[in-house]
Amino acid sequence: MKNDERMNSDVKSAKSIGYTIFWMGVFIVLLYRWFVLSESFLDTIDFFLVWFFASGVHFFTLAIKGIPLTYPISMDKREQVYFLFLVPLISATLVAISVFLRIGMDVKRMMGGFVITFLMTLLLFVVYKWIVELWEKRNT
Amino acid sequence: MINILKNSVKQSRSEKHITQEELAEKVGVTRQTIGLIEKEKYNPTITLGLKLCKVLNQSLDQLFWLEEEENEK
Repeated sequence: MKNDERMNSDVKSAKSIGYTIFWMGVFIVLLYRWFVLSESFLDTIDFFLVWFFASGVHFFTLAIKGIPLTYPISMDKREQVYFLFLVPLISATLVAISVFLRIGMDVKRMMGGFVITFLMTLLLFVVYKWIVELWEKRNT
Repeated sequence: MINILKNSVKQSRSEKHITQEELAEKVGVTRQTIGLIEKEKYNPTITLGLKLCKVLNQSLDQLFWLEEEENEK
């Protein structure tokens, strides 16, 4: 069997389409089970762990390949700092709204969800940037 | 034996006194990709190769060539 570059490229492309459908599909199923069927987080832990693991591998694979966090949008240093804080802030706000929709006005839980999501997303982004900087030192 | 794609992008770029960033801008890729091409860790597509030739004012075989190397396996 020949190692055909066109076929390798098309196989990768097909796998990528499959992965995107799989990732989005599992995410939509999770949202449906949480917000429509009102199932608890523990009821969906199996689906969530598969989705979370796949997302983590995808995220860190991009980092170790040196892909900038904001690619394909190019940003200067100041815009990158805004991005680094704004996206975790938006994620944390969405989580706080989700908590509100699930259990009503429970300020303690909403704040808890907000703070944990903000810090975890910020940490992920900082680690991502650090990995990309290491990649740049080694490869360019 | 395996064929390895070699290039003289770094040398040609230095002769033209342009930075990786400027070359990247001219051919429409990121600085990181130019760095990888110069270190021969990434083989550009024929389209990108031809764009590099145009900007660096070189022919394709001046800028890129194949070398045979022993397969380690």
